[in-house]
Amino acid sequence: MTYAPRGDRSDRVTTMSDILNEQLSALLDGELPPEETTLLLKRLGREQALAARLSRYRLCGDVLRGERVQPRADFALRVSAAVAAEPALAARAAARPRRGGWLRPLAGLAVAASVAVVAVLVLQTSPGPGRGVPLAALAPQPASAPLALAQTIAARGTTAAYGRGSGEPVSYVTPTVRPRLGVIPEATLASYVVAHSTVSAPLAGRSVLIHLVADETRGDVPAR
Amino acid sequence: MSERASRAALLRGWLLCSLALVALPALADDEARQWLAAMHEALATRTYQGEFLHLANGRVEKLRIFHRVKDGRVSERLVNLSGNGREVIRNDGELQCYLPDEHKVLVKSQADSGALLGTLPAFDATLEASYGLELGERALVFGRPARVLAIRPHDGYRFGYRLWIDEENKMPVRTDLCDADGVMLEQVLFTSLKVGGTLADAAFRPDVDATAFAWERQAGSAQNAPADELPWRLVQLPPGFRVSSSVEQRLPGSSRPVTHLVLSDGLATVSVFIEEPPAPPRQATEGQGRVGSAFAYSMVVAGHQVTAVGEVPPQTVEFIAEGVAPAKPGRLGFGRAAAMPGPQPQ
Repeated sequence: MTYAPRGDRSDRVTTMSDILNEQLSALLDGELPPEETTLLLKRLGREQALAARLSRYRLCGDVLRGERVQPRADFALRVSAAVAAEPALAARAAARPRRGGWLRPLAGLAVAASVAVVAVLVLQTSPGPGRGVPLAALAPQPASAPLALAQTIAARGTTAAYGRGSGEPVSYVTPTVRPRLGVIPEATLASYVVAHSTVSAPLAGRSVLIHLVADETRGDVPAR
Repeated sequence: MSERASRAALLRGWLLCSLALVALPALADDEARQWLAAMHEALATRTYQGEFLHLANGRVEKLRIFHRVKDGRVSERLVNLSGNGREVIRNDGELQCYLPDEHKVLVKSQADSGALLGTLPAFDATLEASYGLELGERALVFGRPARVLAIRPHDGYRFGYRLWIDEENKMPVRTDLCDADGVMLEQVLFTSLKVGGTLADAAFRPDVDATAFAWERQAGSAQNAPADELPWRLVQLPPGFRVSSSVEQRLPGSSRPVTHLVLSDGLATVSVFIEEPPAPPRQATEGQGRVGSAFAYSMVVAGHQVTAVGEVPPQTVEFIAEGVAPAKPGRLGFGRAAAMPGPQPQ
């Protein structure tokens, strides 16, 4: 990866932020070379406004969008649908991915081959009508730009496409958050969250504590 | 060989081949479970210190963590290096949250200092009803080999994780919190991490001088309150969630006793707080709250303030809070709570 400036002098500001964006993106992927990591982390520690400036550039949004679910080939979707629709395989499939999911190719060629073999067998057994997974439910969700969770959920609800086997619905949309509601006072909320953090499992508990000390509870930092 | 016999042999070959290949993901699942267990053991038992970036809502913050396990006791200190000076220190059963920007310290005594060690998720059949586990490819994080592990929720009632687990020390050097669609909500990335060695007591003292701050302490200690004996019940729960414990306690800054119910699906935890109505001039709260990826929903039920908090989607805390109801005479409480089906398909 190179961070060589490009463009003429009139693009200088954009170019510099591009370089910064690329560096932070690489940093967040753990792919920044050690010497550049050291420099960037020093800069992050030195320039407290850097995170806010980066936020203004929507850098994080760009970084995170890069992490979105990658669209799968149509054949893979049909394979998943066929596997999920077959009752004999449903129990086993419950513990396995049904969607394009979070990981890039998981167990390599062998697993892909096994799915393909199963798919051939299953497709030959021709699942009955009404038991297939709707392909629309398996289609990749369109990426939405804002990362704020509430916005994401409010915009399209939380779509789930995981069934429990035959007979049960395999797709539903949980209700969106009702906007009519008030807001819990911050001090009261902090007390609840502190009490809750003591009962959370380590990973989630740490995450809750991180948010307690993070700045985000105070709202967006104004752009400078 | 007759045509029929050769067809049969071919079919047998296909079946054997497919069975062998189908078995591979099952083996991979076992390996994934082992990685998850090793990670949780490392998190719970190792002493470590490091710095990490926390990325959420388009913001990046830099934090430092000190974590010590000594003679079975856990000490932890989390410091925000990005400017606000906030710190959380967990030491021998007490949690102190220093908020210099608010000139305040929240103090919460834990009923059981070993409680956190006791709530390690186990990837068993209960958990598998709600999550899928996938072991991914090998990846490098700052030049160190790590294994990628995905914990995927089966529905929209919970979040999942993508974990990059260091192959050598089994620590999660990168953690992505994701929703049911795999959209990342938050990321924790260690930029430096030292596992092992010792940490002095001084590492667990705050940088800030908090003597002039307002200290909001929890009064008294928590007492177990068997769920079946409580005058409340849950008429609906999202699939997979169960009541795991219930205590009577007081929250920081409050003198009123609070019933604290803990619900878990094996990985995610939701707290339900039930309080007597606040004394005037304070008013009951009805609404939502959010601290990072932890959501809260508060409402009034039978004159009591009911609040559900957890690192789960907002719909989940709302669904749980709305399921709290006074126990009818003769009916048992939370122990009989039924897991209701979620919203119907649309």
